[in-house]
Amino acid sequence: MEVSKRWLAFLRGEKTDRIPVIPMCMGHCAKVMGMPNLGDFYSKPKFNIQAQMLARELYRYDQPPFVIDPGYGMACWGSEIALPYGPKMGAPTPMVSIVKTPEDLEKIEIPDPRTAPWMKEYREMVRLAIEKKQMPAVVMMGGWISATAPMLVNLETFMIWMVEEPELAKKALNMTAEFGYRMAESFVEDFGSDTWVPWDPNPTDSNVLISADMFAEFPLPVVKKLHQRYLDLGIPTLFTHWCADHSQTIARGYVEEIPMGENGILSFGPEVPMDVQVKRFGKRYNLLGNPNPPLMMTSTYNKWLAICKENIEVGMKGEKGYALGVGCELPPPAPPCNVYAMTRAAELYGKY
Amino acid sequence: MEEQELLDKLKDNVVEGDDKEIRKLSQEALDTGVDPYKALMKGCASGMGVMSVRYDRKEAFVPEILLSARAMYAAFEILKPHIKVEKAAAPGKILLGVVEGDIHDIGKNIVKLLLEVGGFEVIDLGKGVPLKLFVEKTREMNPDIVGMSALMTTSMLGMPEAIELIKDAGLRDKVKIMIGGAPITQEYSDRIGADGYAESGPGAIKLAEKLMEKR
Repeated sequence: MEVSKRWLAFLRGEKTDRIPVIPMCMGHCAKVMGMPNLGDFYSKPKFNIQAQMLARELYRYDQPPFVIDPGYGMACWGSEIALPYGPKMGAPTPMVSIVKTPEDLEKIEIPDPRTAPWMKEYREMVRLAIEKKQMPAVVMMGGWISATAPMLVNLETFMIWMVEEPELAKKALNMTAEFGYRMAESFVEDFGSDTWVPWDPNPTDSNVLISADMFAEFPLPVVKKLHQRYLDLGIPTLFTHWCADHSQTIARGYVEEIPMGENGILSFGPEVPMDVQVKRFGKRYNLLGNPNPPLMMTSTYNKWLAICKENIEVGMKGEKGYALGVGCELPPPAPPCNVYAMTRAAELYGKY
Repeated sequence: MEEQELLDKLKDNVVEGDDKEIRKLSQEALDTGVDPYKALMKGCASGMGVMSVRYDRKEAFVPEILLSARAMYAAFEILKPHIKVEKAAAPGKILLGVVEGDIHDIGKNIVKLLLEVGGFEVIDLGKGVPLKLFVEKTREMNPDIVGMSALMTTSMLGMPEAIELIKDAGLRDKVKIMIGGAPITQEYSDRIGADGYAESGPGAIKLAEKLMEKR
């Protein structure tokens, strides 16, 4: 089966010859291209898509291009970012948030998703990926705390607002949600609703930073509404990466409250064991495997292959669907042999 | 107000994160002759200790910790100028920073706060710290411990390089090195030749105390 077909079948809830491999590989693609840093990868549309397509061909995994706004959901608001041209930078880096005070928030307007900084390049990346019929996963920066702080509001300020000025925190979340929706709407206008998959990663919403009560009060109602609005645009499937430890939030049943569409994809950090995921979510959602990313950097080929095997054996018990992934973005410095090991593990242990 | 009552209120206001009330209480402590060091350590710091335990047990989270930290620093600002130097002798001096390529500093800031509450002198180099700066500041400030933090899998690779640079500068025997951050593990710490790793902020304090005993 061709690699691109496995991803498409996964999205349709159809069985494939073997499990797909979706390693959330982004910055590593720049390494594949021999670049000394990740700057061009994140900021130049043609290079970005070419690097992702070549990496996929080389490693034979099934991942479509993953597209991220080069301005990281920040520059569009007027916040400052640094592109990853520096040594050891792993992604565009938040520098200064535009909103530091309640007055700043009052003054800010929702940006135009067509004309705000970096939107042209972002749209071009999506266009290039769709042109190649790849059904890209497109990061939508809206509604979650992770899309709001530090993107719009300084992170520490936002965290304090959650306790002292909850209405301001909610206002900021609703503003980024509205931006996310307008962005999705403009993509649907330009590219249709079934040619791309909205993808939202949410590390700052995790229980490493906030409690399940805070999650319920702040991002949950906003994201529920936002996801439903995405689906109302005719987008069939949504993909959420529950980055880091969301154990308390999962235990409260909040994950299931968020609309994900048909064959919605859930990916969790390594903190959530695969058997727990299968038991809790396996009937309803497509699941992504979650071996621990740092281990990918430090393990030998054989050890990493064994780790992938273990994840596959548990994950394949998920009734809806399972693809081998990594618990977060594939580490950009990962040894190439361990990226290849994921495809090899799928071939050896992931056949249906 | 009796001294014990005042100390209890300082503690409670750190726990509640009330930076306005704690300013008044700190001033009252000074006005009524309460030893400012005692007010800070037995009052405010014990409140931060409560928050540290709650954070470790996942009963308190970053927003509450930030509010408690703000209250703690508000009291610190008022009380510190009145503390006699010999009383404030630190159990150790720690150089702290988020390594080059990484700007995620909430974890580092929590560790810094808890170290300060534990009486350590902390030199905070901030975030995105060039690796050579760890060496230069180690030479210049003569810390007991160098603490490095990283959240990204790309930036964590700077830690072994910084350790090598410290070795090359002939300073490795003079400092202990502790590391932390989401992708870091004990195995990684051992592999790169650090002296210790802690999974959480409160764990970092225990580790720092342990490393000081070994010096």
